[in-house]
Amino acid sequence: MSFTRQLFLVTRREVASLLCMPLYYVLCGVFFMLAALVYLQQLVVFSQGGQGTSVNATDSVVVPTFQMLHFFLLIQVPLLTMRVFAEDRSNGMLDLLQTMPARDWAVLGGKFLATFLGIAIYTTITPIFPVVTGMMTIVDWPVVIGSVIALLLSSAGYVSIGLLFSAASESQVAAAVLSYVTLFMLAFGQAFASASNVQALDDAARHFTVTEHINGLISGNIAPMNVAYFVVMAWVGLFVTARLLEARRWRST
Amino acid sequence: MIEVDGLTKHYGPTRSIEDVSFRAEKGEILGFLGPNGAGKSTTMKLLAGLMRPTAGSARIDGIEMQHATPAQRQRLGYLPEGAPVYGDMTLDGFLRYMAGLKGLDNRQAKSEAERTTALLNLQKERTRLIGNLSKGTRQRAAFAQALLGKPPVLLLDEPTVGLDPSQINDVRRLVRSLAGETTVLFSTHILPEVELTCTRIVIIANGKVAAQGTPEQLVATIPSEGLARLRGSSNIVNRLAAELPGGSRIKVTWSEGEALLTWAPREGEDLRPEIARRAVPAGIDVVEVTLKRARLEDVFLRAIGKEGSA
Repeated sequence: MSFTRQLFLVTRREVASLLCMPLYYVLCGVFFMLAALVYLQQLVVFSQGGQGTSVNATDSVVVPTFQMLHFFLLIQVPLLTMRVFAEDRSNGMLDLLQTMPARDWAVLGGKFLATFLGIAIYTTITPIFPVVTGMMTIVDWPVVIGSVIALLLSSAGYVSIGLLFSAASESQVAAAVLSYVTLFMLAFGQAFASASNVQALDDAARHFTVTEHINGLISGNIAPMNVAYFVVMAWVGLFVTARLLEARRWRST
Repeated sequence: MIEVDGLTKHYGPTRSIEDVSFRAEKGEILGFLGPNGAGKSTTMKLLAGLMRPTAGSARIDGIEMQHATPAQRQRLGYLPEGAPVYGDMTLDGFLRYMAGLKGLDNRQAKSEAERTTALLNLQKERTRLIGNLSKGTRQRAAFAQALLGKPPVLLLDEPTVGLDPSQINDVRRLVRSLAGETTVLFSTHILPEVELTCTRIVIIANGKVAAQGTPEQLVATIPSEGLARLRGSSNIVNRLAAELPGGSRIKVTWSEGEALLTWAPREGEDLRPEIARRAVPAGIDVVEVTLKRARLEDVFLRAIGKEGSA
């Protein structure tokens, strides 16, 4: 049996399962409601020429809106990933799946793709805000494209970390808490490092935490380093999760 | 074929199973009987390749499932304890999904889903969400999953839990019908289950194999017991017991005015007619005189160390 078919089967099942989940629609709704509020607020401040606003709508409206959307994603991803493996572990389905001819990577890849697609569905609708802005003023489209890519790439990275903790824990709550701790450290680690006034720590944090990379992408700087950061994050998360799944077969206790 | 050899599994300091050995030949239905917590599910998981044994080996068709290739895993059907299913899928969708993961193409998956639902009388439930089905139906859905692709080896961990008597009968009949073609390891803590379904039995207690063999072989390990209940004067009854052939082996106990005589008969010996012949002329009422043959339940209780509690 081909890996692709296994991957397709698991992805299709998991997407269907996600779309049956009321929580998914709640999160979609909350995401758009907050996104609209943030956008309107930025737009009002911009149109009134408020203090500190630039004359550029992209910098004043689009970039801050996407920065907030990234933060909302950070909050939402663990809520979507916490159940993915934890539920299968607690109801015994993971044991059953692991006795099947399907490979661990197909199961993991399918679950990852399904969750990522679930988030991508509403992430790719976010350009509606710059489109509306573009009707009124000039928008820098490469920045918009960079921002959408930033949301998609960061989603992929965060989903892989969420899956890792979901696979590591039988409790969904524990999986969510561990994901939040890790993602918040990645997101706000640089702020803490800067506050410590230790230059080496600050430099390291700039490379290893999310802030500089996400801000780079959102401001339209689709540099290989920024893209690679999230690709590597997703790969490392998936790799460790695959090892965790494999280790279940070799556990001695 | 299933081969378990010196299988041992410790969870940290806790010993789950110790030096468990047995085998099931091709086409044999082997009952795996033991009280709750005896180590049945652990043995099943080790056989399915879900855990690493502390010592020993568990092989299916000569292969340890932990090292099995996807093609080799296709030879195993597994119904884990708790009968896991996806509640958010329809029964048909679930079976076709699992058939797909077992390596069947779309056409085969469809026909296998139809075949297994028919085998378990689930045709009416095919389009219903599994989460809305009764516990018994979910259990049968999980069983149907294990049968997908006609695997030559089946591990069934408590397959009748949650079923009503009619469904239990159906499942037993189905398992019996697999004999000859499929090697089945049938785990249960319910005695009649193995008596009615299995050709051979392994009894596990406290993580160790306590007994194994055919039901007849196991029953033969416990001698029959002669039993007579008599009413009359204690002097006369005691004298009668002492004067019977082999009287020294007869134990007399009194309860509520009745004497209970028990003895272990020797080969070809039957004291029952002699007791009746001597008791009546002596003015003793014979309430009951019988030869109690051992049952599988006695074997089980002795194996798990609760002899005499039946």
